[in-house]
Amino acid sequence: MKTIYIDSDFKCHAASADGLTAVETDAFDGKCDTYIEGYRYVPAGQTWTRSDGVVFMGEMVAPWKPWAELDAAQQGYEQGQLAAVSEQLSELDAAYKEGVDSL
Amino acid sequence: MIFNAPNSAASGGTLTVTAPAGVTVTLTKDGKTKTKTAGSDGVAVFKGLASGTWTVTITDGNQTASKPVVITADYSTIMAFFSATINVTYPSGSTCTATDGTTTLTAPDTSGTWACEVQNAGTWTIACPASPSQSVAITENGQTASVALGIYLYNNGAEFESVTGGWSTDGYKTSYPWPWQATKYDNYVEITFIGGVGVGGIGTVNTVGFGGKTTLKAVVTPTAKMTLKVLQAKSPADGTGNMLARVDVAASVDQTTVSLSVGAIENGYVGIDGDNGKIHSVWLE
Repeated sequence: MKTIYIDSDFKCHAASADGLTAVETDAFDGKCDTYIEGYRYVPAGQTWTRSDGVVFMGEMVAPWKPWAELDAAQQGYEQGQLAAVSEQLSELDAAYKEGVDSL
Repeated sequence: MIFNAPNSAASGGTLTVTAPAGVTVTLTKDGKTKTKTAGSDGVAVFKGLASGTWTVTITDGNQTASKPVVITADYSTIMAFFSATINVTYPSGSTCTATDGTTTLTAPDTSGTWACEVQNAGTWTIACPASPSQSVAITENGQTASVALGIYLYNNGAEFESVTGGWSTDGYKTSYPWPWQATKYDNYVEITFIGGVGVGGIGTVNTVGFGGKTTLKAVVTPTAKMTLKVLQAKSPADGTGNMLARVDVAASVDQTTVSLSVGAIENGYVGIDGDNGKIHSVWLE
């Protein structure tokens, strides 16, 4: 569960700012900011009217940016996370071996 | 006795046959035969032909060749003091009709586009077996209207396998180990919670291309909360990691239409889950 922020058009934002409403949701757990900010989140009990007049009722989570672009950003984010964790593991491994050798 | 025969060459179609010079050219249709000899330029011209398919045969006495040729000598057009056009797009490969309750018009082909000319004002309903029908009001002479029919993914028992691959629970079960079931009846699918905690789901066997459609809709009877969703992968179906879009529909004893905005999604698996409820139809528009 994480806190995201939605504007008056129900577009999601990763950070708080004036005019935004905080919502708690598990819809974006593990997602990078770029991915989150390509989505709309319509809370339960509220409605959003699309520019073509179609009305959608919450709770709805749907991308407004091309999802393929959001997926590419998320994959890049996850690869970066993996690289960072791998580096940390290498450092821990080196420290462990140094500690063992000193015994 | 002089007979003034009508000049039949003034009406009907003309067929110009180009063939080896000097061969005999024969046209036959419905028991009628016309024969000419191709000139030194290899051309034989036949006039006054009725519309339809004529068989053209050439022979030099040793070898023979034949082929069918369609002659269109008659054209038709409809005139009226009132005329309007409904530009219809519908799933290609399907038939399509338009009716005002009195007059029914049929699309000339299954191409997926139809400029339907109507001669009556009124409410015209456009229908296609692969789509939910839509109505459009025609009120003025010269009016042009557009109707884009949707694409059924499921409707009252029909699974539209060419689009969906069918509907299945495989890949749509949640990670919860509690028992549930999805039962297909003649006109609907029912998700039934039969013990424990969790949700059951059913969805398309194949990923569905949305083809530029911007709204995914469903009619359900949500005895308990149900969710219409689009997934990147079928399993685990409840994982947010592969959920592209979803919308919840609150519990109700009535049939309810739910809509999900999918204009930013090119394709995905379409699924519905919940504790209890019936699925009546699912479509893209």
